Parts: sequence; C-alpha cells; structure tokens
Amino acid sequence: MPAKPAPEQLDNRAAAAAADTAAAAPLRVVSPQGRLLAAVVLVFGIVLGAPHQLLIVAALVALVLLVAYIVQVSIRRILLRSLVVLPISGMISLFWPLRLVQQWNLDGLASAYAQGWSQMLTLIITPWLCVLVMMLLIATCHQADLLYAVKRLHLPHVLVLLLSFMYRYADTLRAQLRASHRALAARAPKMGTRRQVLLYGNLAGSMLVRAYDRGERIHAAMLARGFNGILTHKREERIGTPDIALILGAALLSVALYLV
Amino acid sequence: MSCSIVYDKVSYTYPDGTQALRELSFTLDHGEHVALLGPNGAGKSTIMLLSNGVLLPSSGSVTVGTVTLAKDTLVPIRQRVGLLFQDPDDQMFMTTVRDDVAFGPLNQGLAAAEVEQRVWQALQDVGLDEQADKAPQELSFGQRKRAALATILAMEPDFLILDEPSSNLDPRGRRRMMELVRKLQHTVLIATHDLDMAWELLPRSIIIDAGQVIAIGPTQELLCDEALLEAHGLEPPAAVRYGAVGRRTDR
Repeated sequence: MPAKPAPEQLDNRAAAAAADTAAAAPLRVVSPQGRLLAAVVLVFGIVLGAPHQLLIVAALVALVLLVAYIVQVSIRRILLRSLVVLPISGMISLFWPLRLVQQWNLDGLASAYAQGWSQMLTLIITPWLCVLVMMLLIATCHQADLLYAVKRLHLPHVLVLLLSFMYRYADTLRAQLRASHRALAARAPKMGTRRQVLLYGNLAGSMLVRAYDRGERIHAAMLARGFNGILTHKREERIGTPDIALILGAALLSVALYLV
Repeated sequence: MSCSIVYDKVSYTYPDGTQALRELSFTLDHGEHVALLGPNGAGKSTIMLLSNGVLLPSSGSVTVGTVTLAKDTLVPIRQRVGLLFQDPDDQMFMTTVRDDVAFGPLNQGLAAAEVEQRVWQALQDVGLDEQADKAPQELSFGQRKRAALATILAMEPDFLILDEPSSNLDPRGRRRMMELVRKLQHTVLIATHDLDMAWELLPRSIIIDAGQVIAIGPTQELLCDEALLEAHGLEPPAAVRYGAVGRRTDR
C-alpha cells in the first residue's frame, strides 16, 4: 500500500483542488453558507418588496439567469425547476379575490377579480421568484455542502439530521418503491383502479414499516461507530470576504426592492 | 494489550421474547481470522451486535481485551471493535463517502488533521480514494461494500466483526473483497454463508445453530463433515463438493 501523505500535503492538495474549482466557477469562491445566507436575504427582499412591475421582475430574472450563466449551470434546468411552485401559487392566487366579493353573483365576482388581479399577479410572481433564487442556490451547491451550510447557520440539530437522511435515503426509497411497483405489475397485469388504490395504500404502509426497520439498523450502525447524539463534522469553513460581499450585495438588492 | 474477545455463557433474549442466544461460549484469540457459520436465524447477527455493545447480554459476559461489556464500558469497547453491517446502505448514512468514513474517527474525538489522514488511508486501502466526494448512493454496490469497510478501518479498531462481507457481490467484487479481508491484520470474525470464502480465508470456524455453539474447529475439517453441515442447514464448499478434498459423512 502507498505511504500516507503528510497532513500538510493533504492540505496543499485540497487547496489546489479548491483553486481549480474556483477558476472554473467564480461563485465557488463563496462558501456554501455565504451563498445560502445571500439567497435567504434576497428571498426576504423579494417577499417584503413583492415586485410586480414588469421591468423590475424582468431585471430580477435577468440577474438570476446572468449569475447562472456566469457560474455555468443550466439556465433551462433552473427555469423548469422553478415552475414547480406554479400549481400551488396559481391555486392560491385563483381563490384570493374571493375574499373581496361583496355580492355573491356574477357581477360581484367579476368586480372582485377586477379589483384583485394585481394581487393575483403578485401571488404568482413572488413565490416563483423566490423559488427561482433557491433553484439557483441548489444548482450551485452540492447537497452535502448545502446541508453543512444549514448546520453552520445553527438550524436545529435534529432538523439537519432529518434533512441529511432524507437526502441520503431518497434514492434507496425510490428504488424500493420501484421494485415493489414492478413486483405488483408483474403479478397483476390487469387491475381495476379501486384495487390498485387499495394495493398502493398497502404498499405505502409496508414502506413505512421498512423505513422504520432501516432506521433501527442505521441507528445501530451509528452507535457502533461511537455516535453519541451529536453529528460531528470535520469541515470548518468560515465566512470570508467574498461571502460578505455577496451577502451585502443581496441585502442592497433587497432594500432596493423594498423601497421601489 | 490483550486482543481477545471472550464470550462466556452469553444468553440474549429480544424484547419480543425470542431467545437468540443460549449460554453461548467461545474465544477469539489475538490476530485470528474466524468464520461464524450457521443457518438463518442461528444468532449470528446477535453475536455481532453484542460484540460491539449495540446489544447487551441478558446473562453471561462478553469481554473485549480486559474490558467487560457493560453500559459504562461502551465507549472503549466501540473504539476497539469495528462492526461492518451486511447492507452498506445501513452502514453509510452520511451525505458523502468522505464524511461517512470520517464519522467514526470524529466520534473518537481526533483532531481534524488526524481524521483527514485516516480517511485518506482507509479509502486508499479499499481502492476508493478517487470516490471520496461522491454520495454513497452514487457508488456501485461493490464499491459501497468496500466503502463500508473503509468506514470501520478508519477507526483503527483491534477487532473487526464483518457481517456477510461477500454477499450480493459479482465474482470480481467478491474476489476484491476477499483480497481485502486476506490483508487485514486485525482479529477478525466473519459471519458468512459463503463457505468457499471461509474455506479459503478463515482458518478456524464456529458453527452455531438455535443460539448455541455446535462445533468449533479448523475450518477445512468442519467443512468436510457433510453430516454436520447438513444437520445445521449448511452445505460443503465447492472444494469439497467437486472432489478437491475428501468428504466425511460418518458423523
């Protein structure tokens, strides 16, 4: 087996790798927690400012996409993923004017929607912009780094553990679901909808039991390696100048959004 | 420092009333590589969980070196006994391979530089240093098995307790895992149904059934005893079945 490198050699290797990464993607000089903080500040700005003027919205979208272009992540992917919020925000927006209805007839409804259309627009645009910013954040961070950043920002320990496990085991759960689905399909090529619903209900139940079993085994594995309830982490990144610059930029933009 | 594990009349009953072990006794001596053989439900996993203190015996004692397993000795015992679970997805729960391998050393309270060194060495030993920053779910099954082994090697334990290290591996993955096991300098107990691996790698075997020790002895001698194997849900390895060595059916 090759000889162990000295710790300083390891540090140099890590530094060289970091420098390569930084050269490839400018945003990577900013730590994950810096990026996360900047994104949260910007989301606050969007929520408080609730921009709905076309020019401001267009400028914000252009800014997010410009950053995506600079850091070389897929603009199309970010845009598509951000649409995930539209069914929910669309539904809320659709029903919002009903609170303005004074007479429950056709005229009353028309009048309420005429009064509330700008709020409707805001209810769609604001969450979409927030999700767009978050999608950019997710695209520029490895999930593990993001989880670490969340931990560094002092989110409750249990929540960080839960998020880590959700990320780690989502694929395993998906694979188990797929396997169970195939097993069902293989033995029941023709099945009525009612029966299918019942079977999938059972499947969900069995998934829950399996997840519980796995949880027990994972806990045993954690105990076996000295786990004492605290998830220790070896990375000790601190917020540096590029982080502060990015967070300040986001804060200024937020203030501007609020004032406009 | 004494490097043996002594099971002395150990019994264990699960909370649902299932008695998994009944007054079971055996000793693992320093540097030995031993196979733990037996049918499903024989109590192999319970023995493994007891070795590391994940379970505590209902009666009898488990002594690791000079330390007897009890609630207040869990920390020193877990530092000395590394436990490898059968399913690497149970073993590896962190978001990257590097973080997972670092988990044990960090819990030992080691300094960051030492942890980094151990992580690098363990991953190098199992041939996965290039995969350190991947998420465990991004590795192949064989790679995950080896990474799981790295997670305990990084803790530098004196004893390794491995549960089915070669199960579900393709021939190349199995061979690679066997090479890794062969190189281990630790005292090793391997629970396995892979009798060919036991035949090839593990000089001594313990056969258990229904929570009791049935036989202890040289692996190749026990695995030639067809009647013994058949009585306890096992079958001879290929070397015996295909006539490389003589069978014994007189037991």
